[in-house]
Amino acid sequence: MEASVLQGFLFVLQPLHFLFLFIGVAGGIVVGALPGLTGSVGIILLLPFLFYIDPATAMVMLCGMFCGAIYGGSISAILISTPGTPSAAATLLDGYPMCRQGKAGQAIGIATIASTSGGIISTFCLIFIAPELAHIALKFGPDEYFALMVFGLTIIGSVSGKSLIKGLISGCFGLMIALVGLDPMTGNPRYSFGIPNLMIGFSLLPVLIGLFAVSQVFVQIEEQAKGIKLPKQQISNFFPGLRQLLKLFKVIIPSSLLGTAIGVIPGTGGAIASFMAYNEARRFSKDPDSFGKGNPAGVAAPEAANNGTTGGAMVPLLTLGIPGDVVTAVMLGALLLIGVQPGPLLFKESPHIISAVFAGLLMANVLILVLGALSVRLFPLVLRIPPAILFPLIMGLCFIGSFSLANSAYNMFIALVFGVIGYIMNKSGFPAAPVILGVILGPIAEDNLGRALISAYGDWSCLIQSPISLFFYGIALASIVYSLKRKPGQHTHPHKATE
Amino acid sequence: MFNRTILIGVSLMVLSALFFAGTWSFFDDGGYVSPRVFPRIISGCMFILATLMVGQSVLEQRSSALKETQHDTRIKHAESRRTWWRIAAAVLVAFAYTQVIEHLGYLVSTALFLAAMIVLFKEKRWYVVATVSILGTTVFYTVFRLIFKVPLPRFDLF
Repeated sequence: MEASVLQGFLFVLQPLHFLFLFIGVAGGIVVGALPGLTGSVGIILLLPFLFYIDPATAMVMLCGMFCGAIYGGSISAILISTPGTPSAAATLLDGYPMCRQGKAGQAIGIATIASTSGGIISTFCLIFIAPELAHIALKFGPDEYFALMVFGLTIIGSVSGKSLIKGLISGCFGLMIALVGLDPMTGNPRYSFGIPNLMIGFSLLPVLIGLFAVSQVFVQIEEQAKGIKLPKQQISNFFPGLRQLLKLFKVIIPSSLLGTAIGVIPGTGGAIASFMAYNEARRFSKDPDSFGKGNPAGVAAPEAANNGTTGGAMVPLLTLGIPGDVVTAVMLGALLLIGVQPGPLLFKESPHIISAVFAGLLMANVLILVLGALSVRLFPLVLRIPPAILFPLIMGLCFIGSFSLANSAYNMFIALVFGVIGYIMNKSGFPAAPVILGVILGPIAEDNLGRALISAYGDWSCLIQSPISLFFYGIALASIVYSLKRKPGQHTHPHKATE
Repeated sequence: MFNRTILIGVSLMVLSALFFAGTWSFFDDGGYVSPRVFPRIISGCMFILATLMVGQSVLEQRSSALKETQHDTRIKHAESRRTWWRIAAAVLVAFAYTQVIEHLGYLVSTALFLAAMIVLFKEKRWYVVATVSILGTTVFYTVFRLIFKVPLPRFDLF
């Protein structure tokens, strides 16, 4: 284990690899800080570049973007009372009051230290849990893997935002998109109508770019009329005093562990973790009434928890190939695009990628602390980037990125089509994340269903004979029941639908 | 009156029915796993879900019709009218870009596309539009053509 992490550090600390990690973290912070852009969009904007670097370096860069974006969300939450990412929604409850009291620098400092601590603690949990879980998952047969994919698809319910039906429809839509192309078992074309481009199905990259990035530009064309009011104050006193810091660590450590535990559960994510950590910090506080009025613990707890989910969410992603939350769902797509198939075999066949991820996550969190401390005065400038410049450039990058996939304008057209679909979905309350889950997990589920049926000579009862399969069907059912029982909009923020 | 959700729901019901009907055209060799099975399960699920959504939406519309006044509806429609043409223009500009890039070449078409998008974002200063579109085009060209060696389209009209 230690050797593996050490090997990862040797890889990450090479100048070129470190540069990519740095770009990932810095880009993630900027993307997370800008309202309207989220970690998912950030990862998608990175995709066109990832094809040109080796998978391990690409993974390191993605880890940097993931951690940076989750932290970056706190900056706009503190400075302009608008969470950059849904997971920072709880941070604004005490972060913005601190800003109004003239303690913006201190609030950002606490958020930075808590995020770093949460990220590091959760990465250590990942390092210890993931290899053990992967070892167990290696014994899964196709019937058990099919059951696991069914469970993965029920996560749709958890990421559905306000309406479970709309989330499930989005998931089915994703599965329908995945059906276009060749049948994985027989190789016969389906829904291609004799069109050569449709024979190979839709490429994942333009679909991702369209649904998450292009659609967001269309949304911003409507939103850009709304101005952002920035506080006119000097940002200073980044580091809190030692005594206060020691006091805050009593909140940071349990919140980080809580965030990690929540992150491990597929379909949860940073927003739920941060609100739960906030509630717990308030419950155990000697002065609960000060929460919501600028209590530093009210910033530390959600930030430690939401960055705590980063390592946790990577556990099911790396070991089982199912995403922990919306950002890791997009990351799953990104990994498939760069030729990395997450799952237990990854630990056996590409241990260098796993060690790069472990070290990359640890270094990314250290970089968050360094970048946060050095660039705290630049954050208000980032928030002043005019949408009229930012979003057209993002649109341009999306189209050139789609073109570069196969040097074809066809993929640009597909990105546009899915951009329009994504925009209509956004306006009609359909979440985009389940579409991606359907597109990615659907073919894997169908493939494993086929294998299981062939090995059982067409006997469908083989799907419910293994105790592991029954376990996954059980938790899939529990996941649906939980989604149905959850009050609409619970633990969610208005921005979550777009995430 | 049809609202957007009902319209989408009905469209999805039609789409899923077409998807289901389309499975008969797939070649089936009579093996253990037919290529028709999975699409039928999914289109069946989609049809049921779309029907549920339409039903739910009709019920919601009935209850909300009592609460929402004609005045509220008029304000909503006026707001959406103000922005829809801008979105439609952006879609048209992007569509034109995807169609002309292989003929006009990367440099000309991207600069024009970026300029049009910046104008759609209500930027009125011509020097900002020109600078950002030219700089953006150059930066993308440097990254994709010069660094990543992507063969970006060249001017090919004559």
